[in-house]
Amino acid sequence: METVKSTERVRCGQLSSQKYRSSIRSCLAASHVMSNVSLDQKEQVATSHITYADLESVDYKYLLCGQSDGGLAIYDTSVVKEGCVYGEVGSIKGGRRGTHKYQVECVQWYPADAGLFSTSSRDKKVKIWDPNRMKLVDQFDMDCHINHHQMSPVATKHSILAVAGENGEVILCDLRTGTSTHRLTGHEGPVRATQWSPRRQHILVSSGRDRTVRMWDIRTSQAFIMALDGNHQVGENSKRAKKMKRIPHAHVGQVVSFCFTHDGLWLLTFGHDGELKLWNTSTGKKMDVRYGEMLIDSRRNLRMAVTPSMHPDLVFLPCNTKVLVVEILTGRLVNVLSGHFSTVFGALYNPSSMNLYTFGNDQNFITWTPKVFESNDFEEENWNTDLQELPKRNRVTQDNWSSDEG
Amino acid sequence: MDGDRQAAHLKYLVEKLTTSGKDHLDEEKFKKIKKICKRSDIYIVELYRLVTKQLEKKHAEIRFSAFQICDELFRRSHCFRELLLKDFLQFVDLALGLDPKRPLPKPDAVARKLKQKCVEAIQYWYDHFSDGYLTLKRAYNYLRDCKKVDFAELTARTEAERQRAEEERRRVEEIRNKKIEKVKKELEISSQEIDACIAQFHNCFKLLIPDLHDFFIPLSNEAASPEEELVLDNENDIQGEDSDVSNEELEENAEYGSEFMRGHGIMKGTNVKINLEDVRKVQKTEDNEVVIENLKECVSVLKIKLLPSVRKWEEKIQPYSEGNESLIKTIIDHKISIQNCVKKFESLNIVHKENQTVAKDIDSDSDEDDFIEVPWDDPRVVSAAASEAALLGMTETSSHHAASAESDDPGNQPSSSGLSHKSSHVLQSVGNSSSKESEQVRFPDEYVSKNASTPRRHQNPLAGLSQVWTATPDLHDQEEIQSTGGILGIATERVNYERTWEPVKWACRAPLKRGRLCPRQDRERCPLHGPIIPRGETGEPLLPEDAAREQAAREQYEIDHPAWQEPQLLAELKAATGVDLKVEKNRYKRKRKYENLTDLKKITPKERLAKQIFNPKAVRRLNAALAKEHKVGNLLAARQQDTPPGPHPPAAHNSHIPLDT
Repeated sequence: METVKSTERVRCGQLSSQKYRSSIRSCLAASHVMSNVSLDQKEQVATSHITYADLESVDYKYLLCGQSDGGLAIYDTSVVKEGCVYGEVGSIKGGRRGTHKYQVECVQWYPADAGLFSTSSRDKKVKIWDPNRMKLVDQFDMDCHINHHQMSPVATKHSILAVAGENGEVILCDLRTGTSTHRLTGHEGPVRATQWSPRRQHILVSSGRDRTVRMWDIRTSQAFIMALDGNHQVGENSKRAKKMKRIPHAHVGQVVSFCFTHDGLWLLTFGHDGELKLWNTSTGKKMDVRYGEMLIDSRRNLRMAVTPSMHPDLVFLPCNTKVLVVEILTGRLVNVLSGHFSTVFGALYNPSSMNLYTFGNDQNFITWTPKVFESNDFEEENWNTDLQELPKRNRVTQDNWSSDEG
Repeated sequence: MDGDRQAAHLKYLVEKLTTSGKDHLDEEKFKKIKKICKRSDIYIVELYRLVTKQLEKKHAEIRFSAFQICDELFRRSHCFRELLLKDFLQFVDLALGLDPKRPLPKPDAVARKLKQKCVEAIQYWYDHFSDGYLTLKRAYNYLRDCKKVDFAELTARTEAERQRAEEERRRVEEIRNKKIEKVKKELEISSQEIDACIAQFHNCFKLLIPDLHDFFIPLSNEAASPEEELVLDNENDIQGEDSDVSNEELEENAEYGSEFMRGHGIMKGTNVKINLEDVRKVQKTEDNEVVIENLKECVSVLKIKLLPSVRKWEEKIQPYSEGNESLIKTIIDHKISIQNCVKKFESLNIVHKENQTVAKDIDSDSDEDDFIEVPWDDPRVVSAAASEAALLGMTETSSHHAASAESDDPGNQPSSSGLSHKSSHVLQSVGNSSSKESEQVRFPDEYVSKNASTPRRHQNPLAGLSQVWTATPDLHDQEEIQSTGGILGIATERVNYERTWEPVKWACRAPLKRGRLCPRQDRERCPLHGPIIPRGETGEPLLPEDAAREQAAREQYEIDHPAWQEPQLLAELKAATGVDLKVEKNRYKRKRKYENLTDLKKITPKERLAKQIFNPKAVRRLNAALAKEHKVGNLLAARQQDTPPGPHPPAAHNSHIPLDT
């Protein structure tokens, strides 16, 4: 119904074609349904499952997956073989030489092209790989477990890898020199995740188990620029906190996931307390958006996905066994995707195909596709049509009441 | 309107089906459900709601039935499949109980079945519908990969359960091997002993009673047998030694007029009586004494030591029979041979020869301490003499002796004074027939019926005789009677508990409804009207306190049973108005809602006993007792070790009992 209205408005000139397109996209993104496209599973009983995944950001084609046994795999999402599996481009099995000893905690494509990627694990190593040959190129040995790492997506003047260490430091590794340049200290307890600002290349945000979210400028020697204040203590408490020089907490529970919006203006944090918060990145103020309570049991790092440049921007938030689709600026819950049977580790949004990929503890990898209308049922505008598209499936999904039950 | 009615009916049907507690769904009711559901998907949604509600109940039988409904409908309705797959995880949780925090409810047997059936059903669903339902496919993979549901074996076990089962299996295997090894070792050690013992026994036995086959060779030579006294004058006796050989056989052999018969001078129609019982009678003589002793020893070793141990092995090895047939066979062979030996020995009747005692007398003349100097006044001697005399018909002397004994010490009545009762005339009158007398005295009823009301001590003068070997022909053996009579006199003591019965002379006399008085005659308490109290002409209590009590009881009864609760009145009311006003007697005992289901709260006898046995107090008590016994046992064992080995076998035996238990 929304789309029809929008079309009408475009015709009247009330809506720019740009906006129309993004709103249509948003509508589509809100209508994800499960598809049968999945990853290639060679063995009958899978020995490993995906623990982290990343989609390269040049043409959103290659999906990089880190696996629980330390192995890696790259899939081409544009090629769908036999109607249900993605073509595998390259893979390296866990346990082979050069792979991680433990499960892969984080993987990331080199932001500029798909000629390099980095992986990290709890075996204290960050490895740089060449995807074309599936060979190890370089590795950094850290002195602590690694929870997360990231490279700046917009960096032009540096190629620094920010590594979130278990010992409470953010370690900056320069890919050019192959050494760690310096460390950002300040977190009490392990650092859980790091994110570079997609707007300014020197700004880095890190979250720790100490429930703080801090923003750093890597050029300065300052401790940190600011810490997000969730403002849990009001009145006299905040005064006391100031006196004690305590760093304000962003959440009541630890932060399990955080993410910049695509334009870098906003920051979304998701705490273990089940609260999703939106922050203004320039001021550090919390925006007053009510997202409603979400329940979460996992303390693991989750990967949430945001849609880039849509009219109502959406966030795909893994929340236990479901993935919630929420409008970022209004807090409206648009869709709930339930298909996983155990905790969802992360969601990935593919802007080109508009598919959503989710992976979780239940060893399933699910591709969610937006609902595409065929021309003839466009008029029906029935959002709740059943899944009966294919004749083959139709046959299976029929009722089969036997005649004697009349 | 119709829809509502159908929905209500559906609800009723689902409830009835799920609370039936049966293994299978009731065909008729389920057909009705299907009929309703077929009409429209609305009913399926409703049914799904109902079924899930039942599935959540904490009772395995309800869940099982609900699951069966789910399964049936899943195979039929697309809508139902969609609904179920939406909440598939929850369904699996409830039906498979994979979550260790939320296991399947009791009863366990049904829960196991539910699990099994559920796995089967999911496999079936996957095989048939997975192409159409992605969720099902993924769920199947999830269950297979993450939850380790083994669809090949159709078992759903958690990892922990699997490990536990494996460990348990290994443990049992180990125990079993250990036990078998132990038994084997023991068997090896003692099999030689057993064989030796059995061989010894057989040899001894052969010496005493030669084998049948050995006997046939010296057929006419009767002197070959050592016990010529008891062997009668023909071979039949020897034939009878083995009971399976019958006389007819012999008769066939020895036709009338044959050489054999003529040789023995047996006429036609002569019946030869064969006393088969005597065949295994062995007279103990000086010659075979050693052999008999040896035989006895052998048997006791076999019986006391070896047979129980063999039995123990058999018991131990019984549960692990497969794979150890040879071992079991050896054990059983041993057992049978030992048992045969024991049986053989028991069938033997060893008779002491009379002159044996005489011989002993001569032998033991040198050591005087075998015989205790018995004074003539000793009551035992008196009684023995008396009984002896009675047997011999020397009544006069006996009575005389008895009288004298009585007069000597009346207060200290010796327990053995068999003739202490005054009615000695009985004895005198039947003096000549001692057996008759003895019968008379032995018969208890007769004794009680006598006017003798005072409790008396009594001794059967003939009691000593039963002690004597029955076959001993000489009853006058002095020593024999003398030694046994005294002991027996102590052993048999008679106490009379007789009391006179007084008839009840009063009645309850409580007033009845019909106006009569209660005619029951009880001694202290009427079962209907309580304690018996003095009452007046009309049945009212005479004493004021009794009257007050009765009044109070009546009032209480009135409160408990109001007048309008009269059954007749109620029945009339019910007939007239259709309302049952009857007040339930046990208001607190609520009727169970669904009788067909297994009651989970019901306490089984086992649980009740377990509660008693394993209650902490009892366990503590038991432990204390065990510790104490253990201590004593240790002490005894220590003492046993100090003393030189051998002389105290009973002590050693005692010390082992608490340790074993």
